[in-house]
Amino acid sequence: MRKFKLITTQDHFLVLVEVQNENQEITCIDVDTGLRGLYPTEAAGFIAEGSATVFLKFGSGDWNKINEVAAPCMTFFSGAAELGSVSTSSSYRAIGIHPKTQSILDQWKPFLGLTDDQITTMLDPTMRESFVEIYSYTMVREMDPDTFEDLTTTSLVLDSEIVYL
Amino acid sequence: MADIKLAKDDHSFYIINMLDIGEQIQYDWALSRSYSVIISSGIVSIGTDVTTPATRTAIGLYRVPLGEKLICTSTQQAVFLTPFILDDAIMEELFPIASTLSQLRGSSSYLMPFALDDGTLKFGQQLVYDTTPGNISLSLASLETKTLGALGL
Repeated sequence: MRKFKLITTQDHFLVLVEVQNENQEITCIDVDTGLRGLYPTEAAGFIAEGSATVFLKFGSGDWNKINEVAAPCMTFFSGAAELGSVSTSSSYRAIGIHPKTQSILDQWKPFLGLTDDQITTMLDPTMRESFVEIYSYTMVREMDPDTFEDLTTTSLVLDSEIVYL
Repeated sequence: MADIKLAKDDHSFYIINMLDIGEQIQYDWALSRSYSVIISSGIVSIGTDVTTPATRTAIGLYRVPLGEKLICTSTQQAVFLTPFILDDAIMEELFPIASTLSQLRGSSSYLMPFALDDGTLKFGQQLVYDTTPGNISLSLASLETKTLGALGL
């Protein structure tokens, strides 16, 4: 299970990801395009706890396993490829850190599914001294940590295998 | 021993603070605006020279009020981050020597070695706790020295 939370601080907005078991997808999927981690600006992240495998995919190519990472470590990603990641530890936490500016938020708006009202709240100077949770959600998506194959999908029974009486 | 690492990208400067059990990091400086601390792992007692410490568990947040000096003590191994916007005027308080700040802002360095760098994706080396007991008081002078060292200057 993955918990995802978006919080603003004084000068940054944070994307917090907490995973509570192995083989869970860590990366976020753009709800409009279905693409993973094709970030609009350079993204900085801190892997705070646990370990994960990391994959990259260029264009319509295959997912390539790039690295295995363990906390604590800092990471930087610029969006020339799709990024995928799967937890390999029973507990995993990571923090994405981004500047809280109009131009950055405008670029991230579709990727994070932000509304104009949420962006207004995030940039409201009277809220600067508060930590504001913009939204949070929980999801489950099990992935193969060696191939990035979607194990949730492959566990479904195909229509052709169903016998109708 | 408590340890400080630095990182930077094209928009932010990060102080990465590492504490073994029972260790303390103090910032021997105060800023004219509040700033955020992100407790990314472990449990800490965090406050300032003015504000009574409070317990924060990862992932937790703490706001350092303006004019106050951060004091953070761990009750288990902990890492906390203090990010700053590179172009923000507050950086001039962190780096009073203009040439140092100019070099920092103008550099393409990330201030850290990478375990992997393929151009698209960069992973810093896994950070290792220094288990020799000891606390740190981080002055602006030592922050500048560390930064210049990380820049290779």
